[in-house]
Amino acid sequence: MASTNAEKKGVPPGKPVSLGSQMLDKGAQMLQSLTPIKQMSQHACTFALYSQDMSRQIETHHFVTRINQDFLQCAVYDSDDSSGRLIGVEYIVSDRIFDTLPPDEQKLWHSHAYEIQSGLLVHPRVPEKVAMPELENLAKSYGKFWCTWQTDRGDKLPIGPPSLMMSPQEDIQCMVKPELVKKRDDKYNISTNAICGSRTELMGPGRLNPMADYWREHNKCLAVDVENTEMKKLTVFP
Amino acid sequence: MTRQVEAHHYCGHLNEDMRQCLIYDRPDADARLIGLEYIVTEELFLTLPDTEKPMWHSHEYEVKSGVLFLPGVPGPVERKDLEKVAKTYGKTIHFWQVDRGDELPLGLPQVMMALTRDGQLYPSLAKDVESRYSVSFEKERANRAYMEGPSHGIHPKANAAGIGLKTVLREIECKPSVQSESVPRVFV
Repeated sequence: MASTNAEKKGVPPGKPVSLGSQMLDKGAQMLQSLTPIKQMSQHACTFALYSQDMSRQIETHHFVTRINQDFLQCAVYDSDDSSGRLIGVEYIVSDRIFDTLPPDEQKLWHSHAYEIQSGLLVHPRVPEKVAMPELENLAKSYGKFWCTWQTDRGDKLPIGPPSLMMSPQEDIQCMVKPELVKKRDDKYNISTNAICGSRTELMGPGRLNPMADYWREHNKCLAVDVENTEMKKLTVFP
Repeated sequence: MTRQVEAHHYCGHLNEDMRQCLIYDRPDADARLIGLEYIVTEELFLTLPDTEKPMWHSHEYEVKSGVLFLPGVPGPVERKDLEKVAKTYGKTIHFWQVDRGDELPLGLPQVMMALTRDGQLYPSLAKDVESRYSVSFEKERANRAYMEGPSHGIHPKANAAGIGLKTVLREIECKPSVQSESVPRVFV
């Protein structure tokens, strides 16, 4: 198997996939239905920021499954090639559903309107006209994104507690670094600025819920820690 | 440990030493994506900082007891893969607590642990899986008796070092992407 970028960079460290493993995988693929992962119907490329440090921003690749009109679930990777590392999961709900959540839950979610209106979120290789109906839906939605592998800070393995991620907004405190956007634009031969110009008609939710993007109204960011606790046991562990 | 979930893993190799898995609550088209898992060889596990190791769990018992299986894959083929998995460690995070009836993924991510000995798994959960997939864990246990766990034995810090782990949320001062105009800057 040709070595991939990940193997070259040693993230994660390890030997190339053996012939035995490749054959096992091929065999399993033929025998098993793998139904849930075949429901992924969209690839979206966008940017996210760490809630505990907005200066840390990442390009993300969302592989999206629409469950129903109000709910999507995404497997998030740090690139769109076969060596892409699974860095987290994002859930997306309509504004209708979001408004029913308790405030303590809402503060973990972010809005999508700016991200989409600004052209930061794109569906690579999909013409804008074709993507537009979905973009109209997504512009009104809210997302909850947990990142479990901080490859942007050089972690060779997924270390640490999950991080809550936030979406780009027009505030200067969370501006996405131009060099990140340029790198993405060059890869797909697009212009985020031009795309932004063509999305002026896109509307966000009727009323942007003030509990989403918690930091904007409350000037506090959210971090997750892992602590010891007493485990409820049925028997000896481990 | 009193809250237990059946989990369907869809895994791929990043390389021979590491796999990454999406976890669903059932193997169907409308399955809910409830979490993910990373699986590493013992060699990679031992490179983790000691503060990180408790978030990872061993797979030896899950594999040798028969409860972990590859639906639809014939035993001899399945065992060729599982004898490797028995020596690995995993880090599993769940985001959607379907077992408590949540209709949406609410709350904080949960660091999950794995079964590590007899007597932990609810018999009703086990019987339900056995009957739906027409498998017998007892029979598989006998077939897998030859398998071995990690060469250095199960690391004492793995499996939450026997203590429970919980995630907590903290409010902190924001670290902005760009300094706002009002903050004086030093030009070097």
